[in-house]
Amino acid sequence: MANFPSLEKETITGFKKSIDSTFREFASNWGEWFTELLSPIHWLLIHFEKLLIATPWYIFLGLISLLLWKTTQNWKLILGFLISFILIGLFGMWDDTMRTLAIVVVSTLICIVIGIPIGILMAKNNLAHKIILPILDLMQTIPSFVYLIPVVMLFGLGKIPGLIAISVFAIPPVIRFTNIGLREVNKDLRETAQALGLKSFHILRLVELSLARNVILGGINQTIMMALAMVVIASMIGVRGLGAQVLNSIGNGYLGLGVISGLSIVALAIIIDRAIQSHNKRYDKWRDYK
Amino acid sequence: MKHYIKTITIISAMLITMMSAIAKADNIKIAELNWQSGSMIAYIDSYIIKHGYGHDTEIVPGGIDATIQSMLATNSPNIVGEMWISSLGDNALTALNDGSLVLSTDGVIGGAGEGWFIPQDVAMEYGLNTIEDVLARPDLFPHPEDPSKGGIVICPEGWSCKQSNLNLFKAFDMEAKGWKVLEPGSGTGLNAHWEGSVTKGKGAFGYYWTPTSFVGRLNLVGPLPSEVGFAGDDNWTKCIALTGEECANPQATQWPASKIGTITTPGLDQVVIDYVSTRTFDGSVITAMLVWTDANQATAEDSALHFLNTYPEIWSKWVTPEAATKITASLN
Repeated sequence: MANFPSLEKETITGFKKSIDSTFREFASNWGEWFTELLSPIHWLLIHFEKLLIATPWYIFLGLISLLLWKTTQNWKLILGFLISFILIGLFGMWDDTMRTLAIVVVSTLICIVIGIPIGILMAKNNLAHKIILPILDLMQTIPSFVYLIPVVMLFGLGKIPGLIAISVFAIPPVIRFTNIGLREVNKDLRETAQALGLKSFHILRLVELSLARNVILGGINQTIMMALAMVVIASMIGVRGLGAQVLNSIGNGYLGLGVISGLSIVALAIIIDRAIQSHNKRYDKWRDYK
Repeated sequence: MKHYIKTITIISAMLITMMSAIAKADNIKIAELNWQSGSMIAYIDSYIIKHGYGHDTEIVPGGIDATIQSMLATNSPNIVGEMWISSLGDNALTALNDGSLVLSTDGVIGGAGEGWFIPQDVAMEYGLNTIEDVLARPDLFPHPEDPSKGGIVICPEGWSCKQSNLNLFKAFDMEAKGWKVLEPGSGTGLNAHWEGSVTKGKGAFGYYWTPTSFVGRLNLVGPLPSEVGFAGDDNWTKCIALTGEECANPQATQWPASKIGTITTPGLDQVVIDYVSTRTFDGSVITAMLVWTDANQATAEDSALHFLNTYPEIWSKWVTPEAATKITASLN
């Protein structure tokens, strides 16, 4: 009596099966083509990972410290970075951390390259804004296994499907923040720039994007955090790295390994987060001072 | 004050013991293994024990190693229906020997096997009939991250067959033959890999097992035999099935024929034990059920009900006549 009058079971099954067969058809016709299309990114990722692993640890620590000093001038942060990475190395997590770092960096780059233009489009065009917003909601809430399986069927196991899964989940913040950042730019400033005779492209580049810079960086920060959070899910389709270690510890009940690899992910996240925040703060200070 | 704390400790300890005793007596926990047949058998067991023998049952999620460890540590879950004996580690075997766990039957499924499979069309086209034939042709099965090497897909983390795969990889000296391990990450990844490769008409080589709807639907052949045959139980249980460090010198071997058992915790109701030790599925029945599951995209619970409705002549032999009457009544 109280049951909802659902469609016939056969109709529903037929519907689900037709989705399956359509997708299988698609995968068998286009799978290779897509794999070829993304092979440059695959190549980049594989070699970036090899480079990170092959770099001697002291050179890696030195270079990143230098980078952190250039961007933040925060010696506490550098000290924290050195201590946590030395601990990671001592506990035998170095190679896995490098693998995770490689995939997170590449997927963040992809998110930035795709996300910022989409964010600009959203800020400039209200129709695009209306269409894209629910898509972003969908991307952030849909359980990732729903698209993991088709992605693996298309691209096979390993880095590329992992990269796609991570990017789908991690791209929304950078789009949202770019959109918000640009919409928050003071109208008067935009008009002033117009009065000075700047073309709209120059207004975007010189005025709007530079004013929205901190907000966008905040979005990128969020994107990186979400990419790190997705690392464990990505390892379920064969991405190696810290995520695979976490999965390994879950599967076998290795508590110690779980804690060590989990904390390594946390260390990566905190360092990147603090680096970006610290950089933003410094940039703000400089701007206010001037 | 001290006294007070002591009393509370004692009372709470007693309460916990009592509660776990009650839970043990009334509530039979059944591990639902995370593959099709394992999960269906869990639901069949649950239904029969609940409706035939009046015990409350609860389905809990399980994996091979995690479930065994949990059974040893906490005496729960009580029943794990489809355990592949060859994949049991030493701790499980010791526990079975000293009686802390009970192997109620070792014939849950007839005609089952795990091992290395390849798609049938690839096998036919290149005449690959044994493991050695396949190992000579890594070029037919390119590894996605290093296409110059062959890729062999192994078991995901947490499945004990992962060790066997890695040890066999070493035993067959596959690295020198141009092979590289392809980690699927999870059962989902493993399935998607097979399905994707076969759909795209690409070669794929590696671990799977039968009876599964997959093997039927995707036309996989295996478990492939080896020219060296089966190199003895000692090599398998004392080396191949263990972790890499415990298996310094693995010998090449084909996969053993699989015995599939039901493991229970001691002290279960005798009628339940009688039931799980007599129930045995023919491989073809399981395959038919799994194909039905796939075709209807049914849940494990749907499949269990379908089995009970379709094959009363099979399951009625496993239970007492009274239980059979009760189950039939509850099905209608």
